[in-house]
Amino acid sequence: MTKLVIASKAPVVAYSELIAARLVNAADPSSVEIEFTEDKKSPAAAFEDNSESVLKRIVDRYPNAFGQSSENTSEWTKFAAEELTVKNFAKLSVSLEKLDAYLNLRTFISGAQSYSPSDIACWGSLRSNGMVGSIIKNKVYINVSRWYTLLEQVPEFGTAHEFLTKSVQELKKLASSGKKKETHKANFEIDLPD
Amino acid sequence: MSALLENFRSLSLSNELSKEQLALATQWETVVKSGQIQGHIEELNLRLRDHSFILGTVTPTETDAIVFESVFTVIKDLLASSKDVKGHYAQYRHIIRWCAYLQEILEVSEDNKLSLNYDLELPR
Repeated sequence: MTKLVIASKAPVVAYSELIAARLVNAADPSSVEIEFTEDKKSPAAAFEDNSESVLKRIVDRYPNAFGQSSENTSEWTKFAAEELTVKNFAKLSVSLEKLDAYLNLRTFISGAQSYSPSDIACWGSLRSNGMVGSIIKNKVYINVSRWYTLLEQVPEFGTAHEFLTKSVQELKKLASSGKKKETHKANFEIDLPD
Repeated sequence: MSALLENFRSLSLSNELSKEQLALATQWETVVKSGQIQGHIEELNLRLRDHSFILGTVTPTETDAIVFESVFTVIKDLLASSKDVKGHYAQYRHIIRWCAYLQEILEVSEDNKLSLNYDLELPR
């Protein structure tokens, strides 16, 4: 079993990586252990204790869980990470326009019969971007909205956020029930000025 | 049963349909049966603008296969005969995209396929 750690309080929550891991687990249960941390100093995502190109390493490790990726995955992953997470409206518009044009005649970014790592990367980045919700809803970029809502119907995509919130809640519950006495004790040990 | 529909059934895709989706399915299948699909091209394009598949499912349904069978030739003629190819691409882009997807999964033979320029620049 491999381990993925997601920082739930990262400025850009690693939804793509989370979705990828959930897809791996859907194809082959408990392949990836998914953990969450609320530590703000943690990298957004770490797979096997390494925070470099996490999505790519998950995909490479479990190729069977992902559709064929005939297209340029690394280019789209870069586009997703650098351009779709931007919270500047003017800049984001240009990127969304590009994605919209690309999806004019394609059901998926890969142009294949199902979603590919490129779709996962772009969808996850958009999910993490608070500015995107209303843009999708208002169908400003009609092709992007259609593609986004299609993938939202796939449980591993659509319920990723719910999965995260629930897991973090459980984490908190566990921490407060198991360590109550110790936290209490620790409170007395704080050095207070006289 | 047509070969295309047979191909579709062999894919064993399944979607649970709501009442609304079932009603839509009947509606589109009636249009096909009555031979009126040509008059509903605009409506189909609009439907496919917001939905990847006709019933709004995550994978295609039999309705897609049935409608595809009658729309495919219409679209092919449109793109083959027209002077204003780009204009038609732009106008019916959603049906074209949907046809491009279905012709792959339904294994339309190579010489019958629509050959598309996926990177044609279309106005928004």
